[in-house]
Amino acid sequence: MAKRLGLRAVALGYLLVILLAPLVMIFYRTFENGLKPVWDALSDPNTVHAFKITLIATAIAVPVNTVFGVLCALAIVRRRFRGKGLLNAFIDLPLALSPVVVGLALFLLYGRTGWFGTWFADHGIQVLFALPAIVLATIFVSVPFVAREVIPTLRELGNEQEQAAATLGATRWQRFWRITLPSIRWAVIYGVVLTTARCLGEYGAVAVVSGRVEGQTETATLRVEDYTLNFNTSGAYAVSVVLAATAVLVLVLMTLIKPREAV
Amino acid sequence: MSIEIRNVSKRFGSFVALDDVSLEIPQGSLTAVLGPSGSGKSTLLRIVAGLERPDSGEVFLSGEDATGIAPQRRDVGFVFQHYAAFKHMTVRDNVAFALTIRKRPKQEIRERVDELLALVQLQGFADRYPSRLSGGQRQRMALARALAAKPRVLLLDEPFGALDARVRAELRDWLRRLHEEVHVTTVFVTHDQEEAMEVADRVAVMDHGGLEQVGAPAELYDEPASEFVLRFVGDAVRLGSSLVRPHEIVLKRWPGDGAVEVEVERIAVLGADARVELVEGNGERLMARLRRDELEDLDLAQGEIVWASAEPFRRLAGDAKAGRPLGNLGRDVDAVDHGAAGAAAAEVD
Repeated sequence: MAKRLGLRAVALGYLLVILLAPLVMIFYRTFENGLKPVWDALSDPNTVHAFKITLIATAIAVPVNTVFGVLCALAIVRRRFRGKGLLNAFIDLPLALSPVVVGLALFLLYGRTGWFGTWFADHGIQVLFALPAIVLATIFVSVPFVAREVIPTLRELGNEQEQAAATLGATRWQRFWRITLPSIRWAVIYGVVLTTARCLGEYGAVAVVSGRVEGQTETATLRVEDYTLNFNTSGAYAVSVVLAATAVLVLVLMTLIKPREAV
Repeated sequence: MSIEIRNVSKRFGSFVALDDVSLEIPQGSLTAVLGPSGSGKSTLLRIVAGLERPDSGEVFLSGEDATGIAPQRRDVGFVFQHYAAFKHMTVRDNVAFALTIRKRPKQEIRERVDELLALVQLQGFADRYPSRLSGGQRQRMALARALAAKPRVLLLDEPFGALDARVRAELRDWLRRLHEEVHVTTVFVTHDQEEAMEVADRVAVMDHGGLEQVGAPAELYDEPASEFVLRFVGDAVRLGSSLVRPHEIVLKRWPGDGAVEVEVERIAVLGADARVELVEGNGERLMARLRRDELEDLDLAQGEIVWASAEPFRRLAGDAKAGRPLGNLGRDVDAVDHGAAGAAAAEVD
């Protein structure tokens, strides 16, 4: 009993110091001087624009990576093909690679002399220091989450239910929508939540490729840094709080809607 | 619908699951495919359903080549050993699946599902999820689901394999009666010879990816085409150089042509029958099954020497039903030996 209590204390204590304390600190500091400075910082047109950019990038990256993640998971679990191990390993690349490196790679690829950059330049499309680069960076860093959640669930599910559906007359498409997707829905939802959180919080890769022009190519996280560098601490806190609150809200919602047996 | 399997072979890597198997299943029959695990029986069934593609050979359904046709277009019902219940759907939605897919009118689906649930005695369970059913109930649900769209063939892969003995026996009876009622061509795979003999009107015995024999249950028992069938379907003991059924052994107090000298080791009375355990001079043990009156006439006692012979003349005497010459079948007992022993035994009597 004492041993178990000890274990619990260590686990809780660790989370408290490492995770919760900084979060509480942010909330505390933000509202230290009342709501006025918070409101001023958040209603600043450049801040509003930064949130807009973040939301646009997230709104594009999440659906793209959800579809890709489910397809990848299906391919990895259900199909046999050459290079399957490679694909499986590559999905995790964004987790292993520092976002700054990702940013630099995109910078080189889409720069004036890069492989893709030349083509885009010839067609008059500005990628770097504009929205496309921000979206690309966001997509890159949030690739693994849906696939990583769905793969173990698919493995556990097996394919007997789908075979049964096939003998009952269901086409491949009907089997996917009526059997596979409903069976993996919680894994997909959980993957989407993690992807969303990652997209909202992305900083490193976006910092390199966006050009961080205030009111044009600045995302919410870049806005925090901008405020910090300009000694506008209350502004930095205010934006941070919105980001943190969103993350907490998403996690709470997740816990509430997820059925008991799936936890 | 009749099923015709022509020269079907299938490998999984280096493992040969099916080796040139041909089998005809007549319209309306109830056929068991019997064999030990790894004999290829499930693979054969899955090939008929289209869940597996043969490496070579063809499958004909109602005389039409179905080899390349996808499972969803074969019009078969398939029941899996582990039920394959749709866990996110209620019992009603599970059973209705084939009809929902076919976009039948709601009213018709409702009526058909009610009718099927009554057939499998799950009327009160329509709104439950499969996780809240017992194994037997889940399997009955799976059967109702497979029958919903009135398939032309019902295929069952070890359908009772995961159930306990009592539920198994119940479902066996039930399958038999269902077949009498619905009369759909039914094939079920099992490793349980008793189950095959009890339920099916035709049994196909498989071993090592090949078909050993096809026939009525009594035929397999009385006239096994190979040593494997003899051993797998019912008991078999070795007497001298031949294999016989324990109840076919005749014990006599004097020597005769082809009779083997044995010592009585133990006598166990089992109701109307008695089991006599015997040892040959070379130490080989065997078991004879006698009727009680035969045993009393002999007046046997433990330790006595008697002469044992058998009447295996019907057995392994060149059977045409398996479609294979006997020469290929002998594994450790030479077919010629059977013939000789059989002839000798026949002469004694």
